[in-house]
Amino acid sequence: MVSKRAFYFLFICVLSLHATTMYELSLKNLSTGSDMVVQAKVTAVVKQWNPQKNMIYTYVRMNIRDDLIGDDEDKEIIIKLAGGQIGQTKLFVEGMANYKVGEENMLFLFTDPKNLKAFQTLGMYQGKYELYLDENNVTRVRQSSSGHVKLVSREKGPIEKGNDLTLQEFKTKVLQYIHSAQKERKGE
Amino acid sequence: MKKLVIITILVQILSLSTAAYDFLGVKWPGKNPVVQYWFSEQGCEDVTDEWQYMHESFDVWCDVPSTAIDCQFMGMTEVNQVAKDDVQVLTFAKGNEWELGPNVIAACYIWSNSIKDIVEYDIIFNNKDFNWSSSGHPDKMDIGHIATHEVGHALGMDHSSVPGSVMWPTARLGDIANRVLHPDDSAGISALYPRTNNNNRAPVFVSNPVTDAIAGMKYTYDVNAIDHDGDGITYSLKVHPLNMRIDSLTGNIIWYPKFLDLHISHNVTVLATDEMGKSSEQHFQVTVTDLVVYTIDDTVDIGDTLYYEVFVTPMDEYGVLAGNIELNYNEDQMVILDVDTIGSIISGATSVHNITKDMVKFAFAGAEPFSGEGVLFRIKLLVFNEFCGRALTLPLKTAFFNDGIPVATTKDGTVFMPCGGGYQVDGKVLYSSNNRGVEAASLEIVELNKKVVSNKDGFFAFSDIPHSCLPYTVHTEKDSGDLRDAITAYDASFILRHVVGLHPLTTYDHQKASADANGNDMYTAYDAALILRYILEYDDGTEIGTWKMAPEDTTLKQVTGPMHNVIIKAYLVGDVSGNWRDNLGNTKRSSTPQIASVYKSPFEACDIVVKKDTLKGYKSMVSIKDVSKEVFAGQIELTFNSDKYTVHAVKPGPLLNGFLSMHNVKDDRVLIAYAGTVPITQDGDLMQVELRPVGAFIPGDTSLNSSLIDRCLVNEFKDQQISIKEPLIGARLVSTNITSIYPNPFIHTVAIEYLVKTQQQISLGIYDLRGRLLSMLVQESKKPGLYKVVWNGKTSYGMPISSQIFIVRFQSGKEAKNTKIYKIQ
Repeated sequence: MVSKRAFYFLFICVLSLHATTMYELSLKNLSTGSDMVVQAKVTAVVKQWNPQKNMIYTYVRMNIRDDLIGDDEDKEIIIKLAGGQIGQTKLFVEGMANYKVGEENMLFLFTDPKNLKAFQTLGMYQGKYELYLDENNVTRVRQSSSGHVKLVSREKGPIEKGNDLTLQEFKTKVLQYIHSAQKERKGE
Repeated sequence: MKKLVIITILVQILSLSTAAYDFLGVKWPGKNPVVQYWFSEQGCEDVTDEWQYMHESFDVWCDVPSTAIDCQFMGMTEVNQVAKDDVQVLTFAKGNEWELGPNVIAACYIWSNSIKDIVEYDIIFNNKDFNWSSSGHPDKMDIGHIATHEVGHALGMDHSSVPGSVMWPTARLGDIANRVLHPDDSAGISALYPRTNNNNRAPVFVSNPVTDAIAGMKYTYDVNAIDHDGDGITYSLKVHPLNMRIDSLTGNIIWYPKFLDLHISHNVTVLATDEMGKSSEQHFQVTVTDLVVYTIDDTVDIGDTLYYEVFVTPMDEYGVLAGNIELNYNEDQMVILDVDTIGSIISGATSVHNITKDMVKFAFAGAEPFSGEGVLFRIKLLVFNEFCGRALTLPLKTAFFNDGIPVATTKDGTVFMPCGGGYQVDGKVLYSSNNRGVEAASLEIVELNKKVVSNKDGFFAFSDIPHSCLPYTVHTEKDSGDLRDAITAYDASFILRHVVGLHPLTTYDHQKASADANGNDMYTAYDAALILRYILEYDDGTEIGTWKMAPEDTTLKQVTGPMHNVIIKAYLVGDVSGNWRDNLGNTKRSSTPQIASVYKSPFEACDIVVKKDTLKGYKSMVSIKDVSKEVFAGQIELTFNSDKYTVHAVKPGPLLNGFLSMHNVKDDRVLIAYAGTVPITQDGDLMQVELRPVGAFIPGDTSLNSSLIDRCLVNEFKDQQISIKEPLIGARLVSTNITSIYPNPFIHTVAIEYLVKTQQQISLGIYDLRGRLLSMLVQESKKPGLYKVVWNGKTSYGMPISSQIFIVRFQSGKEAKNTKIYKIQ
């Protein structure tokens, strides 16, 4: 009986999977391709129908703790994701990251093309890194694991993701990539 | 059957043991789910054969023999957005249609109504950031490769752990291998939607049986059945007459009925059996007859005569010496010119005929029996022109041979006279009020399924229209849109003036209909209110903005030649003034004089009441000046910084007493509309806009003054006609006048603000409608500045006054102005 339950449990665990094909992004891709790179904490998650009542969006309200490119600390941002469940109706879009109130993340963001006041994560789940404490109480980061997508790789060999770096190491690396890209643009 | 079941079970066992393929956990419901799909018309910018590969991406999944799922193409659609709209579309997104960022290549949106059932999906391909290929280009994404994977998800498949399978979660540019399924994918879809005895569907017959046979002649019937599961079908005869055979693979039935079979109805039952052993039966009877006299459907051109031939099937066995045949016709449809036997199989026999008003009677007799098959005689006839395009039946009434035994069966024929044609039918769709051409109206000749679209002048032309003595129906319609600023508050003022009898809606045809905003055949102030709400972007689901044709269906009587200048009138619900397209281009605009200027004063600090608290906010007055014509209506759109301020109130100014006025706040815009029956003829204040700071109040905050009047209409003249002034110091000190009366109507007290431009004698008194002075509030010389006086609704002697209308008389120097105020209980 127990094993049967366990089987059903495992089976149910894979129910909310969906369908997206996208490029596999390295930490450098994320750092140089984002409009905004922030450390932020989730304060609210709201699911809403659009005014036409034909799309469900999930809006995540976050408070910025650290803004690596700009100077928007303590400000609020809204992350917009397609998908969510309202009542019995559910919309899946594979590759979207999940958010919980209270969790803290490093986020690589671009401005939503249809709502300039909202942002999306670059490469969907790939643009979200969760903060966690290791056994020595050191804060580290790890990419969100909800990426059941078909990844297309542009590069041969392993791709640097920055998983399990300490938060400080991670930020330092991201800033190095950003500054290098800025220098390249200036032709230095 | 057993074999398939065993394979299915093995597949399921393997799936559990190896965990290769996987499922999303949601699936299409039903025993034999049919997954529908549409293609968006806008297609892919990079290739021309994308649809072929998109079709194949569904076919490879649904053609797996052991799966019960079906895919059904529903057609092309204009839909190109992801939405829950019952249209499951595959679309290539361009520009802002793509919202998932630059690195995402394609996505499948899946809707479910519970954990188990998929109810809808859309697949969207990123054509904004990616180039697509259908030939495996090494630097591009292959349509078939990606689409097959995404369709797998749409069917409920998750990623597989088998490298090389379609559902394997990684890919490379230029890959095309996933256009076809890997065995793991086939096993997966079969396990998700297995076909079993419970959901296997029997073949369906799609051919109609041949029920007539002629003794001595070969009988054939090509049986055809289809199997919705894609199974092969075998045919057999369960019940059949002697010697009837069927080809088990092709279904072709062959039989040579004998004379012994004559006049007997023979029962036939055909079996069609699929690969799982499921059968369907088709039952019919074949009746064997002997000689058949028949005609062949024939055609005649306009003005031509037709040799209409009467045939007979082989009569070699019969020893026919003579016969007589009668055939009916309708003298209203044709005229019979002659009957002859030239070139017929009885041309050597003696023959006679008689043509009556509705019948052709023919008889022949010879010395030797006739043989063979062919024409017995022919009728020369002429069909009247007006019957072109119609099938005319010539029924064979009787056909006897020898002394009447055997009796021949007859089959009627028809005459069809094709019409002439190639005619052009053209005309214009014109706007009812001003006869301007209506562009992009869709017109269809219903009977011909011919469609055209009117051009910018409203001109349309149907070409190659066939001759017709019957009427054609031209159905005309136009999508909503193409409003061209035709619907304004000024239209609402028309309705209000109509309601009170000042301006009947009879200026042009359909003016009344255009005023019926909610389509209830009534023209009331409610329609005016709905128009104002429409302008303020409320969605009341009205017909405002809907194009109507008058009539929707235009009848073209006989088209027997070219037809020009067919006029179809159109109007737009909500455009009561009928000025659609008048305000386009430079002609009207450049010749229209400026009739007023609208401007706003700088925002200044003020007290605002929020519940019981009095807080600090900001106010600005939107005013009108230089009024040179009657102003019945107007619209104002004011933009402000919504991050810093919220709209607290929008209060009508004294000029709008008696006006229907509304406002709406949309994000960072304040939309204001007003309409009335008694026009504004003087300068003054229209609206006071009050804002509250989102954060703390900042005295002297000047950033507010960068808020703009973005859009402004006076009557129907666009903002370009109006000089909109940015806040100017002292802009309001343009004249000495009352600037605001608030609240109005009032219950206890009313505050009256007035401006004085130069030092002068001012008097401000309250009068009743009989002209009796109730209270003189101001009567003294005033220096330039802004003043406010409050009236408590009582006479100078402190006597309270009941609810009624009062006149505020404001006199500066020798000039006096009157304004109404209302006291309510």
